[in-house]
Amino acid sequence: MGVSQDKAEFAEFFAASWDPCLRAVAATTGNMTLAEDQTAEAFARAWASWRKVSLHPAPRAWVVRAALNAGASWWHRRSKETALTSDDIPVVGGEGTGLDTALLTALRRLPARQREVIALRVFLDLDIDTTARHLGIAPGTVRAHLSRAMTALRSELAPALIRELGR
Amino acid sequence: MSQHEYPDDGTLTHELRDSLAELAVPGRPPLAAITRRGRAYRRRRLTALAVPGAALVIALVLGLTGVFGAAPGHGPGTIQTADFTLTSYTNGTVGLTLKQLFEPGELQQALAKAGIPALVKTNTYCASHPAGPSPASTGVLVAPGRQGKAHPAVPSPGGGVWLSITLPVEPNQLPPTENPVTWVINPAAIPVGTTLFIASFPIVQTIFMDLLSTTGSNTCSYAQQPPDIP
Repeated sequence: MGVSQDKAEFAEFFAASWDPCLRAVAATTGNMTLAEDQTAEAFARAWASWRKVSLHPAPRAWVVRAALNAGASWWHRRSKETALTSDDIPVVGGEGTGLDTALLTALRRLPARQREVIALRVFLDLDIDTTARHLGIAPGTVRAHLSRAMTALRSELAPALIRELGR
Repeated sequence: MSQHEYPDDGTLTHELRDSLAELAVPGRPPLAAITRRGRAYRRRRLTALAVPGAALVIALVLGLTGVFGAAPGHGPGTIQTADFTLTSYTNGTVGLTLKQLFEPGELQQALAKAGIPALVKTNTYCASHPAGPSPASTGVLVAPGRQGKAHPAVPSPGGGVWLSITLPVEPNQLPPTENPVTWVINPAAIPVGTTLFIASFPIVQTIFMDLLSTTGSNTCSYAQQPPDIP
């Protein structure tokens, strides 16, 4: 496979995958500016290893995972410098409906692993087994995280849902 | 957790997806900016690996992180890359440990250095006409399986053997329950007029091995899995 063919394939993947990957990362982290940088870094890393990433069964999942890992490192470094509260983190979707904002705010409150499961299983629509393989955990653990996340989201969203239905 | 306990999970999933679809995102950056950043990342990674010394840098330029003849306790030598390790044992056999998705050309070159004539492909199935002998029955594949526990490869009706494995794109991404896979190959048992064929099929997470005749005709075609996998 030549470099020009690699680049053409990567360009096609990048054009088709940027929006869904960025949305998944932004919704999962709650910070669009940071998500944009993390996603760009993840695509850059995908290009650096494109011959292998292109063979991956779910390359978009690879990008989202790499972006979330990059974000985890960033937050880890940042948290050593200054203590953050949830109010410090800009929330995406604030200009949408009340329900959208509530959903994204609720997502932001989930533990990191549950957000990763939501990003891959729900936002990228991967099946349970692929999600499990990608995260290096058992399928049963994915189901458990998904179940806990859904329970937490349902609990968080109940007031917003009631308000939405009452309109 | 059964779906009966949460009958509205599907609705919530759809709401999450719908909400995400409405999320406005900035336009994508120029492709050139991403590829430039990718090259910078690759340079940083290589620089980090080069810390132990100039000898290692030379090995990296060659695509190798080990040098034949420099591995005490394992016989004549070891070739080690980020993707695989080839270990030559004192009895003449060679252990092939696959750690992550590999570049076929790089593995083929390393096998040749270890004295194993091989054709290595990805998502490609090759067959000889007439069919070559089975690598298992000829003793070419001495111990296919996982390190630490018996997990024999499955013979295929066509004579080849295959093994379902998980190969991550980057190291340290294997689930804790998965060990790196080691195949033990006996180069001396490879019949004259044949070459070892190794194919990876990442989509079905399978490695396939067979012996191809170098005197008859061979045909190769794109495939997402070996034809014998049920």
